[in-house]
Amino acid sequence: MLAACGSTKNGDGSWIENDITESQLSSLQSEYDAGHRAGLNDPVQVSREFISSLQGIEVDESGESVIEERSDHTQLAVFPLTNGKSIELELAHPGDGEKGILYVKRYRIVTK
Amino acid sequence: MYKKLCLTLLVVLSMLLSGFWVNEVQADGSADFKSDNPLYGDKEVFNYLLWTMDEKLEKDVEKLQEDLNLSEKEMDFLKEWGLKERSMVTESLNQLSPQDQQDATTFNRIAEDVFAQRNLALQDFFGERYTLLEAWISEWWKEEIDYRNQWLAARTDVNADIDRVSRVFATQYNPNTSGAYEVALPDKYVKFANLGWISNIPSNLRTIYGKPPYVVNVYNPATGRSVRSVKVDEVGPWNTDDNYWDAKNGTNPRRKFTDLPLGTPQAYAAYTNGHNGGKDQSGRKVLNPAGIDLTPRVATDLGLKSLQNAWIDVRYEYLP
Repeated sequence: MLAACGSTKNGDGSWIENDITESQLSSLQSEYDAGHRAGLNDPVQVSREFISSLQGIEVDESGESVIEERSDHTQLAVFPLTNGKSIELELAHPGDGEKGILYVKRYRIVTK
Repeated sequence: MYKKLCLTLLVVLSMLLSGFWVNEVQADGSADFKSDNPLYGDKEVFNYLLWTMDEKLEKDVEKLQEDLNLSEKEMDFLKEWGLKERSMVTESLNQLSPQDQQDATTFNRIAEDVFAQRNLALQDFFGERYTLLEAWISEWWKEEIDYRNQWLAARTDVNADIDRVSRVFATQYNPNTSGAYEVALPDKYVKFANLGWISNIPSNLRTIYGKPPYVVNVYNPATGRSVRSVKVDEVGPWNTDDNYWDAKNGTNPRRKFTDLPLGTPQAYAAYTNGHNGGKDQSGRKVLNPAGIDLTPRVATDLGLKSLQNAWIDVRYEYLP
């Protein structure tokens, strides 16, 4: 099951909500808690898997990604893209909690 | 009936005399028989014993039934608890409010509660015979650890420069992409390299991880089946920086747990010998000794049933 699944139809920099369900998040948390998919609490892995699910979007591997931890326990991940733009991903814990696995809550494409 | 009762009493007596039963004398002078018994070690016991495809463990299961004169119904009860051990921890965690989730401390507390529930359920079901089951498990555990450590040492090729093969415990997982044919190993950079995430590999390791795809061959000795060139597209189980197939002084040094022997997953050491306090690199109690994770398709090709574990041989020669 995909950790996230998104579309890129709104390419104007507006935030796009990730349509992952609570049930899907629960399943992912269960996998992680049983020792599987150990990267589900890693912002890099969660971000990269999400980006891989987007059509026509590729990370520019010659660039640098940035992960910023915020005071509200979310994280902002920024990855450079091959089209010259960047993708910003807001990562959160399930239920807006403070710990546990991470998932992409919303994302947007921005001009660098 | 009388003969079996005598046999059972002899089993208990021999265990007492052999001294394997840990008798830690408490401050009040009483003895604690539980400190080396895995039933009190917050770990999966019946999942390991009853849900693993392994010749020795299958014989151990037969011996358990015979020694304690357990009915099929009683064996089914234990098998059911073997599955519950795996599922109840995660189900219990899911019942917590998001604010109470889910750090290592919470995980460990939940695991402790679940295994305490298991023991209460066993006591309730078996009544007076629970003591016999407890004693049998304690004896079996000590013998299994001794056997498995020697058995693994005899099978692990400790020369990192030649073919790298070791026998590890395998569990099954649901992949990110449904139906994927892949395995997981506890080295995140192998996954990163295979998925092209080069910019997220530290620059000093990019040359080392610079020739994907990285694959493994896996052989299940219980069925004689093997799978070849399976991509390592996921990380786990348990750890993300435990490249246990790499020597600590090799060309790609083991990143963590360098005190462990080459070829020994930290999860195995944590589960069987209390390494790192029985915890993984995130601080979670390791509930099973898995060193590789298989997707259901790979597991099926190796002859495993749904949710079934196995001791398998993995060849790592194609990994960094």
